[in-house]
Amino acid sequence: MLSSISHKRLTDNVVHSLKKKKINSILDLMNLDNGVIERYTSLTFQEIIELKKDLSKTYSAPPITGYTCYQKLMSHSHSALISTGYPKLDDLLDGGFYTGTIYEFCALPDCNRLKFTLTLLRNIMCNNNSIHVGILDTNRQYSASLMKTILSKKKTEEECWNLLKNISVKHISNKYMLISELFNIKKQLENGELCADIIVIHTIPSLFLGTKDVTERNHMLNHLANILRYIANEHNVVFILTNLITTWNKGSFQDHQETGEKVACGKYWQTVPDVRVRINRMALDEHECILLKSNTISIYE
Amino acid sequence: MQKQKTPIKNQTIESGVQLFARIKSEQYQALNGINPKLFPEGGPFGNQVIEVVFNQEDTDYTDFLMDFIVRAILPSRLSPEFKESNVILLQSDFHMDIKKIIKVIEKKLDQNNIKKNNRVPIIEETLKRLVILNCYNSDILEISFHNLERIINNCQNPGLVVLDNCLSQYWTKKFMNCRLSFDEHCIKTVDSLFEKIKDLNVVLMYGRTCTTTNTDNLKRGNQVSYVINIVKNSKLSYTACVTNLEKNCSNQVHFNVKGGVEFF
Repeated sequence: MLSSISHKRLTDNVVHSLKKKKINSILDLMNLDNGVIERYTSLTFQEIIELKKDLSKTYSAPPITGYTCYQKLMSHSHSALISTGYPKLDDLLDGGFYTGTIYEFCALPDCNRLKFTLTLLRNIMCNNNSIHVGILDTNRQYSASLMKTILSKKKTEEECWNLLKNISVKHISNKYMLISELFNIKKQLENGELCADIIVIHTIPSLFLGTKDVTERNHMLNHLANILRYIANEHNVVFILTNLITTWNKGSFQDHQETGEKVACGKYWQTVPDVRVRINRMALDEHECILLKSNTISIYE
Repeated sequence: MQKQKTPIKNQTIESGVQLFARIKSEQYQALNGINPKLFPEGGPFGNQVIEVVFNQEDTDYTDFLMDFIVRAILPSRLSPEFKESNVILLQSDFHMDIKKIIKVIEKKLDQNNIKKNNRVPIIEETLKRLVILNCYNSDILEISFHNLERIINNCQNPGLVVLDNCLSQYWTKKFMNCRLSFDEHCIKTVDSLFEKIKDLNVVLMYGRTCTTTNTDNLKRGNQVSYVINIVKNSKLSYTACVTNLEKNCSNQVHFNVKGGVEFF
């Protein structure tokens, strides 16, 4: 929003005159013709050019070279790669979870996604006990006692309690709360109040499946994608999202045999995660992982 | 009275002297010959706009764009197809992974028989020519367009500006204007980007997702010189259908992504 804090030339009077003409944001001002701004305010043409130059420099994305970007990735405290604890899954993911990446694990409803995710987290935390995990639970399925039971298969009672201290959980009841919580996390990470290497969002579709208006749903998903990408990139966080695979009947009234499958949350969401893995349940405690999509893993290997 | 009427594809007016100075400048030729298979008649030249259309459901567009970017930034001493230019990448979709860019660079160095122990300085030098702008929302993206001129003028040898996906922020804009179509949003975004760089003699390349298989009816701005439609043939095999809108001709190039992007 346009305010006098944005620039020394944007005095209260200038901001007031601009707002009267419905110029409310910095982008509105940037897109406005210099002559029109001159007419609306007391600023001279030269001052307007200087103002626009300064605002574009301050509010645009800062330019960074590919080399700086790579160095930043490598400087992360837990290295750029976090092992999943499963050698075969590590192979599938080209070594493990890369920081700054959004992973999505999707499965049919009969597969216990929560147990799969918690077991995955246990393995990661057992490999490296300084990893901090944030869980955003959208359908109140997470339970500390289940996590402790899973941890206790590999760790002693005391170690379990220590590892549980590295997990923060927040229950999310709607999509607005999810976005607002992610903004809180962003703020806390920036202030150094929070330490998170991995953030899990359990069952994204439970927040979005009820929305009938496609534009509204995709608008929220677009916001979600933007904030996820910001946190992942700027703070080198790994996002693990879980999603649902839905089935529907492809056949006609006469032919009910052919069924199709698709990942929930619509076409827009299909492009958002960097890596998508499908989990198939083979037996009670046996799962198969299939790589469906990857923007990070080399196609050459 | 002086008459200045030399239209270049409907968007710019320049005098004969300005036109001569522009096409003779080094920057105009910076990417000429970058991929003779895609551009058999030479080019692309400064101020040309390339639209890369891909089906978002089955095509990983990053391989194609990365191959183009890497050819532009690699040192020209290694191959005539490498252009040693600065590339400005506007990331809005965040699928152009830096680790993968490095792997593409390594693959190109492999193909040019550069020994492994000589590679690190070349990779560092190459990555320094790539300038990334991470645009996390539509406002930052649009304000970054205004800052492009300054960034380009600070580069030593600017040749290419890439916007990974012009439709990445479509749904946030659509929410504010419910009548906004994909085509309209694409035209508006590219127009406002091109407006800021049209005097700077750089090539603009942008990606565009498409949800239908029929891409003939897509609308685009007048400034677009080439449309490259990426069609998936099989798991690793693609066809790039290149249409030169200035000369009204087209050609098809097959490529696969096994062992690096390889054009036939």
